[in-house]
Amino acid sequence: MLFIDWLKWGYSMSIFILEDDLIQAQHMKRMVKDICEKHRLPYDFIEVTANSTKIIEKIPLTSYIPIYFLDIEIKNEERKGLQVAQEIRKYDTQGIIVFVTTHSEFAPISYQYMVSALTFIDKGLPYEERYRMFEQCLFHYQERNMGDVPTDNFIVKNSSATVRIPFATVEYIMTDEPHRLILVTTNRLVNFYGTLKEIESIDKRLLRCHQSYIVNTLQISSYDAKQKMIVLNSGKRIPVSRRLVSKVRQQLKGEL
Amino acid sequence: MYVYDLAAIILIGISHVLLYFQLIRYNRLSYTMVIALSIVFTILLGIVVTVTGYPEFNIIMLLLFLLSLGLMKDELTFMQNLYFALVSMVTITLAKLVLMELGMKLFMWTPFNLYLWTASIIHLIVSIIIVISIGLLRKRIQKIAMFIVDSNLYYVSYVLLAIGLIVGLILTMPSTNLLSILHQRYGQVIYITGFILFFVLLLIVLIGSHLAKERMLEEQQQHLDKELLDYVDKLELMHDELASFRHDYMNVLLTLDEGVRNQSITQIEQVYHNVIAPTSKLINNRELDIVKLSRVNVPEVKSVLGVKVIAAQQQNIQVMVDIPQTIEAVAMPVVAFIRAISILLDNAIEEAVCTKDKVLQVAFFEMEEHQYFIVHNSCSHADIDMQQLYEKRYSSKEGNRGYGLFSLKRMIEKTANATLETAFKAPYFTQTLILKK
Repeated sequence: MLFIDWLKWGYSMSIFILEDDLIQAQHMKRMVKDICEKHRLPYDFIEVTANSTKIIEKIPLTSYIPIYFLDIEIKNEERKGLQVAQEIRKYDTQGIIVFVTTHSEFAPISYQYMVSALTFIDKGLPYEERYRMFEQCLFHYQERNMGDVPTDNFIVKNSSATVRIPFATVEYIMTDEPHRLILVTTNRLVNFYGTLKEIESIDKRLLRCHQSYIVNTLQISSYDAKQKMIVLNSGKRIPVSRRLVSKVRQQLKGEL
Repeated sequence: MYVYDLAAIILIGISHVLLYFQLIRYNRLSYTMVIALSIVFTILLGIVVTVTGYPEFNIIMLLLFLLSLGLMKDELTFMQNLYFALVSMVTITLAKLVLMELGMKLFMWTPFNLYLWTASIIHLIVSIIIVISIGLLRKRIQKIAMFIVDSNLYYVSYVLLAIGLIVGLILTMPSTNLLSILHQRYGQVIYITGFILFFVLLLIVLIGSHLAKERMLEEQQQHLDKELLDYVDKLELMHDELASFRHDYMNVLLTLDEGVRNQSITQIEQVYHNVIAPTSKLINNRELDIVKLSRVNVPEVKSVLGVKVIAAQQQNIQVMVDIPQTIEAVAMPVVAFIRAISILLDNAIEEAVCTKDKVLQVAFFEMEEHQYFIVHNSCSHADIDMQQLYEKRYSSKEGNRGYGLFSLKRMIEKTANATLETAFKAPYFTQTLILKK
C-alpha cells in the first residue's frame, strides 16, 4: 500500500499563498496543511507571503506544476492580485491560479480570461464551505499533476478568429454565410470567420458529411439510412449528402 | 446608336438598381454583384425592346424588376416597395431628361461644332454624373428616404411619382395606340411637365433632407438630456447612500466606545454583529461600479453602457461592470458595435428581470490580440435551443418580435474579425463577442 502510494505521490506540490493580512494568511495555511494531511497529499513547501516578488523568485525552484492562492486586493490596491497573476503567467503558463476574494459572487470574468484562473474562493463563506472549495482546488491540482487530464482542444486560428474548445465537446461545424462558420458544442454556439476546408484538415476525427457540415465522429451515435441523417449523442440530426454517404458509412463501420 | 449610348444605357441601368438598393437599405449584395445584375438586366431589356418594338417595356419591366428585387428585403411592405421602385424609376428618368436638355443648351453656347455623336457623348456624361452622385450621396439618400417614408411628404410624393411614371411612359416614344396619340398631341406639354415635376421632386427632397437633419439633432439632444438626467440621479443616489453611511458610522463609533470603556466583550460583539457586519453589504454595493465606465474612452460606447447599466439597476438587477483596463478603441465600426452590444444588453436585462437572482455581469477587456465583450446573466429557462435563438422570428417572449438576435447575427457575420460565442449553463446565459484586432 505504501509502495503504491509512493508511486502515486512520487512528486511533491508547491503551494503559494499571497495574502497581506497576517491572521488570514495563517488561517489559510493551516487549512491547506490540514487538507493535505487529511488526504495524504505531500507537498514540498507552502510559501505564505504578502510580497509578490518572493513568489516570482521561487517559481524556478518548483519541480511540478504549482498552485497559487492569490488575494485579489493586496494593501488596498484593488487589482494587485491580478497584476501578480499576470506576472506569474510570464514565468509559469501551467500553474493553477485561484483567486481568494471578499466578494466572489461577482468574480470578474476578465480575470478568469486574462490569467486563465481556475476559480474564485469567497473569504466570506462559512468555514465548511470554504474548506470544501480549497479541497476541490487541491484535488484538481493533484489530477493535473498526475497527467490524468491531457488537454485535447479543438483549435482554429486564422487571420480573423481564434477558437479554442475542448475537442470532446464539439458536436459539429456548419457553414452559414460564405466564410462564416458555426461551431456547435453541447452547451454553446460559436459563430466565427473561416471555411470548412481549413477545418477539415485539423483533426482526423472530424468527418465531412455534407457540403456545409463537418461532424465530430466522437459524438455520432447512429446513422439514419432512411432519411440520410447522422444522429448525435445529444439527439441532434445532421444531414448527409448523397455524394458522401459511402464515405460516412465506411467511417462509421470503422468506428462503431 | 453609338457605343457611348450603349455605355450610357448600362450606366443608367446600374444607377437605377443602385439607387433602389440604397432606398430600401439592402446592402447584402457586393457592388460587383449589383453591377453585374444591372448589366445583365439592361441587356435583356434591350433585347426585349428591340424584338417587340414596344419601348414602353423599358419602364414597365424595370419597375417589375425593381419590385422583385425588393422581395429580398423581408421587412418591406408592398406599398413601400412600389414607392421606392417608383422613386428610383422616376427620379432618374426625369433627372436624365433635365440634365440632357441642360447639357445640350450648355453645349450650344460653346464654340465646338455639333456632330451627330455629340448627343451621345452628352448622354454618357449625364449618366456618369448620375451614377457618381448616387454613389457619393448614398448615406444621405438612405437617411432622407427613411425620413420621408415616415412623414407627410410620403403621400404627396407618391402622387407626384405616379404622375411622373405616366409622363415617363408617354415620353419614351411609345408604340401603343393610346400612348402614342397622347405623345403626338401633348408631347411638348408633357415634356415641360416632366421638367416641372423634376424640380418639385427636387424641392421635396431638399425639404425632406432639411427636416431630417433637424429631427436628428432634436433626437440627439433629447437623448443627451436624458442621459445627463439619469447620471445626475445616480450621483444623487450615491451621495445619499454615502451620507447615511457616514451618519451610521458615527453611531457605530459611539456604541463601540461605550463597549470599550466598559471592557464588555459581549457588548462589542453585539455591536459587531448588529451594526458593523451589515455595512459590508453597503461597501460592496455594486452600484458604484458604474464609475468603471470611465475606463472606456469611446464616448458612444460609454454612454450606451451607462444607459443600459442604469436601466438594469432601476429594475433591481444586480449589475457588475468588469472593465479592468482602459479601452481606447473598438476593433470594429463603432456604430455596428453599439448596435450589437445594445441587443446583447437589452436581451440580458429582459431575461435577468424575470429571474429570482437578477444578476447581470458585463465585462469589457482586451487580451493579447483580442477584445472581449461579455454579457453574463441569470436565466429562467431550464433549456434553450441555441440555434433556434438566432432564427428570424424566434423570441422566447410573447408577441411579434424576435428580430434582435437575428439582426445581431447578421451584423456579426458581416464583420470578418468578429466571433460570437453563445453559452448556456443553467442558470446562466453568457454571450461573448470577441474581436480580433
